[in-house]
Amino acid sequence: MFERLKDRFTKDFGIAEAHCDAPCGVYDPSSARIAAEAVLSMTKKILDLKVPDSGEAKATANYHNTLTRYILVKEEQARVAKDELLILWTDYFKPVHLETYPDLHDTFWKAAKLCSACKVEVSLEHAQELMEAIKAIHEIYWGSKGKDVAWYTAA
Amino acid sequence: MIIAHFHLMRDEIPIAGIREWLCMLRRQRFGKRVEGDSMWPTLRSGDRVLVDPKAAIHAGDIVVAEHPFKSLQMIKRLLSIEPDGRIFLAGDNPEASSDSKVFGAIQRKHLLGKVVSRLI
Repeated sequence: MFERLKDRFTKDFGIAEAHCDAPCGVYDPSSARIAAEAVLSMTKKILDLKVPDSGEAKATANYHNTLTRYILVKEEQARVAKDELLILWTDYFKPVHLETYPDLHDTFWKAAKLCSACKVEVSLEHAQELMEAIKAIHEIYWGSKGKDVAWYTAA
Repeated sequence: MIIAHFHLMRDEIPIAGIREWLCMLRRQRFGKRVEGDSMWPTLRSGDRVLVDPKAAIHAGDIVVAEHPFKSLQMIKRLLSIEPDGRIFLAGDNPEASSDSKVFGAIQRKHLLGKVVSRLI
């Protein structure tokens, strides 16, 4: 009885959304930059890793273990960099920004493609190009906010 | 952290007693149905809550607010009230985010009230 009374009483309750698409205010290309730095670092480490002399079981195991871990981090961080860039591109930037930055879409598209390339390949060149692309996005982003924020890297 | 304090968080908004129901009848409360998981585990999707539009609001409270660009109301935790009157809201559950950033600023006028109790 109480249940029915309560249902009648509460049927007009409006909906309060508990979805997280509250209006966003917090963006920073540095999250993509940090991930891209990890990609660059892992690419270097993979390229520098010495293949052990054949026959040594322990050294071979260590080599494969280390290589796998480097690859794992590179793959993961390339994905993070891409996700962060796409969020910035689709959520922060608005059509009005295209007036000031007409090559905005091209810049983001190429940066996202570089993330994929770095994930698939072991390319120092592409990893460095990704850092350059994120630097360009850093300048566009802070320029659009009218702030002069100097580019820096953690490494 | 969220998992460890699951039951504590669930108890944060108490179940409405007689007093709350009387306030409701006197129209000192309005009711809302929660939809979505961004306030889990404090509030679950489907929970019915009572909101006090006149309660004093502090950082840490769970509030109902108008969305500034859409015609919907949202239930969020109030992170801070800035000196310029802006209010920062966030969901409790970062995993339920449809956007990766859960922060948002709204104006004080968009705030509708504080969640004070829930119905069983």
